[in-house]
Order: sequence, then C-alpha cells, then structure tokens
Amino acid sequence: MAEYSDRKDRTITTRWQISGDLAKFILNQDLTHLDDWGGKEAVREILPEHFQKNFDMIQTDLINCILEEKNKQTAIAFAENISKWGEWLHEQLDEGKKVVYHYFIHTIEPLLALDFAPICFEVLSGLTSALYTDGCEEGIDAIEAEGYPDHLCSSNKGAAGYLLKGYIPQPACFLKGSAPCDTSNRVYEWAAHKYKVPLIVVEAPYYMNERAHKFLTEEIKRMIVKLEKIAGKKLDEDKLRHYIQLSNEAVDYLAKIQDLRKHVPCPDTGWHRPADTIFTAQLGTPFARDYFKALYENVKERVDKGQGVIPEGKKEIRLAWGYTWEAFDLPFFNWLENKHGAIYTEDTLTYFPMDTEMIDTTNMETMLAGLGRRMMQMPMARQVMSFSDVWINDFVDISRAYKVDALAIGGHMACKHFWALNKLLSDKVKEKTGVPTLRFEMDMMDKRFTSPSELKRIMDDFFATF
Amino acid sequence: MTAIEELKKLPSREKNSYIKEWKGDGRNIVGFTCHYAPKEIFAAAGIFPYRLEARGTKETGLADVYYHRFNCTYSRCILQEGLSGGYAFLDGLCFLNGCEQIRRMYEVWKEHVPTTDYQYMITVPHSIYDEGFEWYKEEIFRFKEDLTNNFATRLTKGDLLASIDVYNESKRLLKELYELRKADNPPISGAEAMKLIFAADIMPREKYNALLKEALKEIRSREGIKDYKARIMVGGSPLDDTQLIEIIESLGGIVVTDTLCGGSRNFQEFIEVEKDGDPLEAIARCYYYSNPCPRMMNQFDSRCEYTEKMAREANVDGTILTKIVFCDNHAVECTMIADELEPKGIPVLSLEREHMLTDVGRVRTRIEAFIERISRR
Amino acid sequence: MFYLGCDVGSMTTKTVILGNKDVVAYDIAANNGNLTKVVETSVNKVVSKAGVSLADIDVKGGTGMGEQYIPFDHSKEGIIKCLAVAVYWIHPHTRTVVDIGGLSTSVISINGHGKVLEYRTSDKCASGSGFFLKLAAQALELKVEDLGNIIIPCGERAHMGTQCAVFGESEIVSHINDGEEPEKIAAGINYSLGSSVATMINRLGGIQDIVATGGVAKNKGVLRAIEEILGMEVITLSSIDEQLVGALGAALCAQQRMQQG
Repeated sequence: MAEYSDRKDRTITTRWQISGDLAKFILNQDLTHLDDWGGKEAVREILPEHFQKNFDMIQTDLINCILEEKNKQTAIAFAENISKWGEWLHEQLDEGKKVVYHYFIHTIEPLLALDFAPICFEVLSGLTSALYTDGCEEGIDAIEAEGYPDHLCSSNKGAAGYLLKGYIPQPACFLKGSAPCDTSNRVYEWAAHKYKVPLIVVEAPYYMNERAHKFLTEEIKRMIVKLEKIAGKKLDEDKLRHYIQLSNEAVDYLAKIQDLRKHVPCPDTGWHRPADTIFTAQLGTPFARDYFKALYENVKERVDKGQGVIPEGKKEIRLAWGYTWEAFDLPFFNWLENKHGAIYTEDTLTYFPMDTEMIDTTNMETMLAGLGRRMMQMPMARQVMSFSDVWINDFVDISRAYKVDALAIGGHMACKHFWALNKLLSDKVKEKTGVPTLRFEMDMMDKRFTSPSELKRIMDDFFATF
Repeated sequence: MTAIEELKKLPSREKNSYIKEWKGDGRNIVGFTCHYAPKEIFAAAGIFPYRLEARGTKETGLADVYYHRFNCTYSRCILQEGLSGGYAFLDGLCFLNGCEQIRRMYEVWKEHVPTTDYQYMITVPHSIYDEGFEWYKEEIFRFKEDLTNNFATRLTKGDLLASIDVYNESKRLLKELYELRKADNPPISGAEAMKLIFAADIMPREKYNALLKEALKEIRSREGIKDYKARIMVGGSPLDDTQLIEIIESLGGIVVTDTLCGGSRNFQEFIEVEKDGDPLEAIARCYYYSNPCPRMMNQFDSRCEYTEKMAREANVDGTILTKIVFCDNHAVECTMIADELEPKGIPVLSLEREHMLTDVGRVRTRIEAFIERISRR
Repeated sequence: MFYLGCDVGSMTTKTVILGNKDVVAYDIAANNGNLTKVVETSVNKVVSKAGVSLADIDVKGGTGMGEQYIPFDHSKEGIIKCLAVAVYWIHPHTRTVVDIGGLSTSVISINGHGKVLEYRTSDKCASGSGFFLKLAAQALELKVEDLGNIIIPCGERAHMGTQCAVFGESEIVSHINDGEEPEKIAAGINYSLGSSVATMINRLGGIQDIVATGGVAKNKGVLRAIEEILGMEVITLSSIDEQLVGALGAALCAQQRMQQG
C-alpha cells in the first residue's frame, strides 16, 4: 500500500498510486453511490487515515461514476493497474533508474529494455487532470507564470509546471517525436534546455509510405544508440523481445475491443476512454496488457449477452469523438450515456487502424521495423504526421463501420493544425457519410476554459436537436 | 525613378509590373510559403519564385470560414489572399511543413483555391543532423523532378550553377546593406532597408540584383542618421510589411538589424559548389544547415548565439521580438531568448501582435516605454 | 391555456407568456445582481401583465445559459431547438436562423419542417457578440441602441482590423486619438461584428432565407453588413421583439412536450 512520500519529487506519482489503492478499496465495498454511505463526508470518516487526504482531492462525480455497476469492472482494472504501475515506478526510482520523459507517440519497449524509468510527460498532466478536482492547473499556471503563452498545449504545460515546482523527478533526458506539433516540440526543447539534459528527437517523416517507414525505423535505431549512451548499456535483444511481446498482447486486446465496439448496442462504457491513453502510453508494460485484457473481457461479456451501456428504454445515439476531449471530466461520458443514451464508439485519438499488425519478434531487425510501423500508427502520429486524407479517411471509416449518428469534436484550443482542418474534416465526413458534426472549443486539460457545466449545456443543446 | 525608389515601391500583386511582364512572356510563377523553399531551383527552371505574403490584408472573412481564431493571423491572411483571388496569377504553389499553421493550408488551399493547379509539399525534418539532411536533400531532388516534369522545363547543371551565382550575388549585396546599417550613423532607416529586402521576392532576381547594386551606391553616399535614441534589432514572427518598423522609428528608435525569416536569415551562408560537385546537394546543404528557425529542435543554443551575434555586431541597445498571437514557435522562442539575453546586458521587449497591426496605440505605448528604458540620450 | 417560456441569457433574462396563438405578455430584464431574483422578478412582472398567477400556468419551459437559476419547476429546453422552433412558428419559410446575443452567436440550418439540420455556435470570444458592442459604445460615449442606426458606406467607415475584444478596445481608442469621427468608428465596429457573423454563416453553409434574432439583431448596421458580405437579405421578425425569440421557443417546446405526453 502506497504511503505519502517525503520526497517532493514523488508528489504526483505517489498521489496516483494512493488513488489507485483508494479506488480499489472503495470498489470492493458493496455500495453503488456515495449517498448510500451517507455522502462524501461520512465516507471519509470510515476510510483509513492515509486515504482521507487523497479522497478529498478526487472528483466526487468520478467516485460516483466508478461505483455504478456498469463501470465497476473497468474501474477496478484501472485502479489496480494504476496502483501497480505506481508501485513499479517507485521501485525503479528507488533503484536509481534514470527517468526518461517521453511523448506518447513513442512506444516504450526500448526504454524498458534499457532499464530506464519511462514516464509519459503528457500522462503527468492527463491523469492529474482526470482524477483530481484541482486538475493540473497548478502546473499550467506555473509555466505560464514564467512568461510562456497560454496557447501552448495543457498536456505539456501541466507537466512542465510540475517540473518547475519539483513535484516530479528530474529527468536523465527527454524523448520527443517531431510529430504532432510545434507546441509540444517547443515545450520539450524548453525543458531540455532548462534542466540541461539531452533531448532525443525522433523525426516522424511526413508520409505514410514505405520510404517513411524505412526512415523512421532508422530513426529508432539512432534513438537507441543515443539512449544506450545515457543508459550506459547496450540494448538486449531478448529483453526487447519480452517487452514487445507484452505490447503485442496489449495491442491485440485493443484491436479486438475496437472491433467489438462496432456492435449495436455498443458494449463499451465511455468513462474510461480518455483514460485508456494512459495505458496506450504504457504499451510494453504488464499493466497496459492487463488493463486492456480486463477491458476486453468486460466488453466481450456484454457482447455475448447482447447488452449495451445505456439505461433501459433510451434510444442509443452513437457518437464518435474527434480529436481530443475533456480529459478533466471522465464522468461526462457516463453522464452522456445515462442522460442522453449517447455512447462512445470510437475516437481518432486512441484509434489504431483496423489492420494493425503485431510486431514480428524474430530478430532485432524485424522488431525495430515493427516498432517503426507501430509508431506511425500511434495516436497523434497517425493523424498528424502526414497529409490530412489519412485523418479524414479515419473519420469516414469510423463513421461507417461504427454506424455513427454524430461526430463530436471537442476542439482543443492549442491544437492549431486541427483547427486549420476543422471545416475540411467535418465537410468531408458530411459529404461521404451524411454524419453531422458538433464542434466546440475547449481545453483538453484545463477546465477553466470551458467548464464541465458548460460542456453539459452544449451537449444538452445538441441532443435537443436530435 | 531611382533604383531605391523602384525597390521601395513594393507594389501590390495586382499592380506588380514584373508579374505582368513575366506572365505576359508566357513564363510561370510558383509561390512558396517558407524560407526552406530552394529558390535557386525554381529560377534555374525558368520559374519565378514568389514568396507568399499578405501585405495590406485587412480582414480574413473568407479564411475564417476554414481556419479558426486559434490559427495565427499571418496564416489566415495568406489564406485570405488565396481565397479572394489575390494569388490567381500563380501557376503553382510549393508548400513546406515550416509550421503547423501554414503546412495544414496545403489541403485547404487545394480544396478551395481553384486557381492553383500545381501544388507540392517539401518536408523538412525538425532537427539538424546528417540523416535529416539526407531526407531533405532527397525531398529537394524529388521536388526538382516534379517541378520540371510538371512545367515541362529542362534544368541542367549549368542552369543551377548560374542560378546559384545570381542568388549568391543577392546575398552579397544584402550583406553589404546590413554592413552599412551597422554604422554609428546608419545611412538608411530600418523601414527603408526592410522595403529593399522585401523587394527581393517580388521581382526576378537578376533585376533585383541590378537595382540593389545601384541603390547601394546611393546609400553609401548618404549622410548618416544621427537623430535617434536607440539602436534596435527586430526579430520574432514573420513580418511582411514595414508598419511595425515605422512605428519603432517614429518613436526614436532606429532598426539596424534583425533575425527575421524574411530578413537577415536570407543571407547567412553562400551556396558553395565544390569543383565537380552537385549543385543540388549544395543548395540543399545551404538551406538545411544555415537557417536558424525556431521550428528546429535542439538548436536553441545556436539560435541564441546567432541572435546575440547579430545584436552585438550591430551594436544594438535593445531587441524587440514580436510574436503573433497563437504563433507557438516564436512565442516560446521570444521568452527563451529574452531570458538568455537580458542577463547578458541586451534588453529585450517581447511584444504580442496580430499580422494586421491595427491596435497601434497599444503597440506604440509598449515600444515607447522600451525605447525610454534603453535610450542613449 | 397559457404557456410560459423563460430564456436566461448571459446579459438579459427574457420571459414570455404565450396564449393560444399569440404572446400575451413579456419582459426583458438586465441580469444585474442575483440571477434567481432577476428571474423571479421578471416572471412575476409577466404573469401580472397577463392577469394570471404562476400557479395558473401548467406548462413552463426554460432555456439559456442561466436556465438553472429558474426557481420553479419547468421543462429544460435546449436553446438551439428553441430558436429554431420559434422562428419556424412565426416564419415557416426560414431556413437559416442567426441568433446574435450578448456573449454568443448561433447560426442554425433548419429544414422545411423546422427541424434543426446543423448548427454552429460562436467561439469563446466577445468580439463577435453584443458584449463587444457594449464596450464599443462606452468607448465612443454613445448608447448601444444608437450604434445600430449608424450605417456608412464602405470606404468611409473606420477599419476595425483586430479580432480580439481587448485589442479591439485599444483599436477604438487609437481611432479616437487619430481624430476619426465617432460615427465612422461606430460604423466600422458594426461592420466588423457583421463580418464575424457572416463568417459563421459561411462556415455553416447551405444558406438561404435568413432570419436574425437576439439583441444584436436590433442593430441595423450589423445586419446590413451581413447582407453586404453575403449578398443576401437578412430579415427580422416584425411580430416579436428580436430578443424574445428564445423565450418564445421555450414556451413552444414546453407546449410540444406536453402535447406529446
């Protein structure tokens, strides 16, 4: 069981681990709603003391959301694996393993095989934003106070601010693909410069063809050479194979889940979907594999029983989500199901294309080529590193395959390239599938931009027109 | 009309006689969006390379239908010009993935600006290293093939060498202009100098060189400007008109150098072709390695050095770095540069603006206060 | 039978009582102070004008961004649907509804049965809204109501280039200091706002038979600017105050809900 650490630089990660333990504890109680216990105040009193402080930080709506029967199984999977991941991460840090902050288009098998402690920079912002009432605004405000603009991406700003505040460990290096965007590139460059550590850049070439794949594979090789210098060891083929096998298993489950979501009624709940990105950033770890396995079992069970996730008597409205959503309000997707019967089919942020390959683990060459291919498909790489037709076609494919009724795009204010395409995207989807788009402005991780209540009002207005 | 007057005219595209004459002769003009476009190749293929600008764009109603307020006004103004027919004279357009806002214009332009038949995208890696250079070099080679096939032109090694000579000559002349501006009493104002620099991309290069050579003779003979309070360097987001410089100079500053994409970055290195060397490779090498652009990662230290060098060589009293609202690259760069230069005794004003500079009062107030701070008298 | 509709917007609260065919009473109140009290006072005024009591009204609909402050039981209606339903009820030829409010603008495409096909709402920015007009009027020392009557041809009005309400205020001050006449600046502001709205309409596409609603629809300068840019007529509803359309829609939607059981 995690305890609060004296170490300031473990503030964020310890908090998560405790939240994972706390959620497991609550989920093992035989109750469905905080009010059944007497409300949040009453609940705190019966919690072990070291959970109480953490409990106060967590969004009340989130606790109620995970206590709903339909969400419990996925919530247990989430809680268990966050907790295990936190425990594992602290063990790595205790052993003195070097921290590599990486962007989430990177699959981390090589980092794990080189015995680094990899932490996805954006998950630092995302998970805090998703779990806690205060979100990651403290981090955002800290970096903005240094004079950096508000139009940078909150997923980068939150973590950058935590570095400034000393809430997260000092890195040995940063690892950044050149996709998806200038804002993330600039924040990583700032961070590497500020903390005087190397920034390893992996160029995500502009195309989605063999030439690009070949170049990216070579880039990954060059990345490994640089990482080896920092790690002080050579990459072991067997170790790499071990982590790739784990990531293959996870991706296999993910592909199966994606396929099952096409069913009517949709068998997958929405609350955890933004949080899935936390585990796509962990592909290669047993936690990611176990998480997606549990998700798959949950979804499969519903498919076998012909069950959906919306209340009896409501008509299912099948939504697909565009680029980004409000990571700060996971219960929002649960609210959509319960109030409007609106389910979450797919989104273009966690989407792997239908023909996702497993990585061939025969030898180092096949593995590196496979990592290159996978990186081209990772969220934010696939959508962004090439011409827009890749992305538009994904929207069209999703709309058709998942029998989508409407596309909802929570347009993240920092996403300049998305906004440059916003009308092109919605026009093409409308033209090819007839599916309308609801598009609204928000900030993915800063709830002050468009508040949770305003988001609900936007959705209420939208569903009133259905 | 003197050479300087001709260069300073900066006619609008509709009134640009060079465009009319070129098109009238049945020749082609291809636009480009960013400094990484290899102008020498266009010119060697007999094509006039025109850098997209949005001088004088007053509103972005058409562009705003496709783009959004989170896209910078520079990109929206350029798109506006395209959508309103301002670039109907182009026979083609070469995009580059210089920044997010401009590179995504490729698809919107292709779909909605009907007048541009030929569009190409050259992609540039985001950091400087040997293998990145190989990628860029191949991109240049492919572009050259595509361009010449599309426009059915021949392009020999001799054409390339000749074109390189012409553009190197421009660089030599521009370097000379900037040297003259370093004088204690510069013979030319910043606004005037910027007009001479902007003129490079709106007329055939040979013509420009001839005019600039003449203009330099006149400039050398002038008495220098003594009446100024502070020597200023300008940098940051792209500028394609002189309104900001004019404001600075109306308040007692004199702009003596810059680190602008459309300014000094144009002539940092000459293209040198080794004996029996490949001119295409030499072109690629120069463009890739010598552009201190903030979109490049792991290059901040060298950009900082370059910025400091430019400031010290021109003996500036302060630097004004402007960032267009929503310009990620320059917004971060301005702050990082300021943090480096201020402790070294080079004051920096970091100024937010739009591409269309209409809130003049706010801008004037800030510049005025900065000049007061750094004033020599 | 009477139906009550209440639209609690960003700057004003509008309440109507609808009889069998017509609006029988209405009120428009500025949202000063406690919003619940504002709504209560407005509703009380309206029921009094109609000669009834609130308890007599079985069907009540509420809408707008402050709908949660309505202190009595009511059905909650989405504002987009309310606007579409109300405009169609009055003017069935409408196919595009443009609502220009205090803090936001919505453009709605409806079909021949009054059903919403698609819509867009404005960005989180004051520059395309009534709030910007309020700022502008203060800077020019004019009344907001008088701004709307200032229509000056292109070429004579002051150019407003900025797209930010904060920079916009600075731009207005620059124009004043440059000696520009207030009327020309006002005309420029109207055009700038109209241009923002026209852009939104163009983004929606499929434009025809445009009806404008909302407080800013009273500003003829803005409407003429939209017409100039789109090359199409923009009409307002003569039978009802432009600001009341949302509230009317709430009453109509509540009525529909009751009829559908």
